[in-house]
Amino acid sequence: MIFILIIAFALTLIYLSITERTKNYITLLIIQGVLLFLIAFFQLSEVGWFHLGFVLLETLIFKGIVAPIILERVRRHNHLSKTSDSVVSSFLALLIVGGVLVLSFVLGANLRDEHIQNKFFSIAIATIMTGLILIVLHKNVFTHLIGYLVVENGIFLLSLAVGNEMPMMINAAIFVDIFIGLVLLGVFVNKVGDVFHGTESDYLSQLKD
Amino acid sequence: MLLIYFGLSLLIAIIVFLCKNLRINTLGIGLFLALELLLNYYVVLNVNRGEFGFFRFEPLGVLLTTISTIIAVLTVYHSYIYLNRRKDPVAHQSIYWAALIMLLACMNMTYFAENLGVLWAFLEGTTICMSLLIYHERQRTTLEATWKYVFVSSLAVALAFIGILFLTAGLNNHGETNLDFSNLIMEAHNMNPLFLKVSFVLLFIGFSGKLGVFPFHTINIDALAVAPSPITALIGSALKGVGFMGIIRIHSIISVSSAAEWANQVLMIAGILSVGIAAVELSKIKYFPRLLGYSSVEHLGIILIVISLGESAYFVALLHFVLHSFAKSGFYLQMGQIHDIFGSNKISKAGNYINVYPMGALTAVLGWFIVCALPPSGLFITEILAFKHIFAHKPIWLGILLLAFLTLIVFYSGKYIFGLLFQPPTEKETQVLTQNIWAKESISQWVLFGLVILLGFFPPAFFYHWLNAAVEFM
Repeated sequence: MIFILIIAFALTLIYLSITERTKNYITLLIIQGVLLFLIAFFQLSEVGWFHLGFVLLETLIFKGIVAPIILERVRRHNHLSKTSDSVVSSFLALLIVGGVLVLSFVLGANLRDEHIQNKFFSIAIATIMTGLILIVLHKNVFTHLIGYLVVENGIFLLSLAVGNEMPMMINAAIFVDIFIGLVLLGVFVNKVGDVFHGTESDYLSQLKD
Repeated sequence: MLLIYFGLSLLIAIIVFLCKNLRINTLGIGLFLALELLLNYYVVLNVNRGEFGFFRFEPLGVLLTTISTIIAVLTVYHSYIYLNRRKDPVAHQSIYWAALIMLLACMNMTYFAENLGVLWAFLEGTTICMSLLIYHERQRTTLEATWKYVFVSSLAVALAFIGILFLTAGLNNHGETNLDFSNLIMEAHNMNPLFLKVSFVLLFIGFSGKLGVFPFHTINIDALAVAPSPITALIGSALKGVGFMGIIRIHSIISVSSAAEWANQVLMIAGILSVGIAAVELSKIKYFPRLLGYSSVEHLGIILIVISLGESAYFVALLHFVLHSFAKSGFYLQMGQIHDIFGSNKISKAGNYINVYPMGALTAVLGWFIVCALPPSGLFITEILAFKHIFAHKPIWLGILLLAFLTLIVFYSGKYIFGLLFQPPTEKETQVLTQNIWAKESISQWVLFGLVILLGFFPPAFFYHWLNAAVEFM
């Protein structure tokens, strides 16, 4: 079951690399949030109810519902339907993300460490790299925000790969930080849209020497 | 005590933010400063005491908090002048004070964090507060700087978190992870060296933004160009303590493992690149605060190089960091006066400063001597000692290369500062507003520069012992 979920997650990464519609980005993040919850649910079978509740809050509620709602508001506020801002073609982006996926799984397969779960490690690295690639290849602050959230999803998968847990209080503090950070980033994307009448990152170059 | 301090700070910040009243702002920041001084007094008396399991008043943290408190008092004083002069809406002023209170509180919590996860959480907290402060003037350039600061900082801190995950993987145990620094140092020699190296690099990259060194040094540079001047005094000095603490912490873990030499090489490369980038970038800057920003990149690069030379050089690195903090906060406050007089931070809009405001011009010249580590600056002593260590431990070409970079930095910074003093502005449409400037505003700058001279050339015995205690911790 977990393998099917991982493959589904990998497919969302491929779709993220080729789509240009902002609605699709948000839908893909919702799907990723649900997949992360299911992966965590099946993986953390022996975990207590309190911890399970926290995972539910972090994945399904935050990543699957709250974050997409914030993004949808940002999208509507800035009248963003499509972001044709990639510096490479969709085909080349597909090749790059495909290559990253293959490399990540090769790396995971060759990682001989009994304390790391290779299947999660591979998809985690691929997700983090895809998030970073989205940020680097696109010239729109909205897409940068999507890339940041994809990186955060990759970090969640990496924490599953490592299999270690931090004390709940630290987990909660980290969660609050990420939540406030997202709200703040959303607010500033709106400000960029309002002030510059567009969310392309090219507008943000007045401070260059 | 620490949790009471943070809880009360949070409460004051929330009240100030919600009430949006000038009197409450004054009362709130006054109460917070009293709390800050009380905390400082308490930690000085309780060095090495642990609190709540996740915090400890280690000597280095106590030293950094003291620096932060001194600069905080001056930042608050100059913030009052800045806000009164600008006559911003009360709501904006309330956001400013609330964000400043939380920034200082998060900084102190980071200094005393005994757990890597806690350190990370409060470090991210400083990013959130900083974004509100950088955005204060609500202009296009501040929006640009804020977006870059908050986005790149968040990304850098996310990378640091990946580093923490690799560190937990290296611990080779399942279940709840003990990320206390004492435990990590104890376990370091048993850790998987590959994971330890990967985590060190990622954590270093993540913290480099806060410290202001290669590769994420750019985060601070744009913010410094447009943030309110009292805030730049804080970003350019005390806030760097947060990144410094983070890097010292991870270095202390890896330095007891088999990867110690490798980690020192990473610090050495990052340090050399920082100094080199500062030398190159200084040749083409457009804003005065960027001059100090790249100067900080240079000084902190030197500190990384000195740390990489081993324990015998730690004292020099720490003294350099302390003196640099006071020197930069003083000069940033002077930059604030230059901004207020010429209405801009742009180099092309300022000139003839010696005729416009002689007291400020004198302060700027002294500031240039101080930050360029020329006598009578205390940084002159630490740089001499640093180069003594570099020439003793590393190939001669490295010392010569660094000296060449420093020569370029002194040349370019001198060109901008003496151009400001004696040449007319290159832009035709410029303004000069000296009526609002008080000579007494420069007193704080002279006090800070005086500290750099005094602590460098005539360090008091208690300061010397304090530094040695902090070096033991490193």
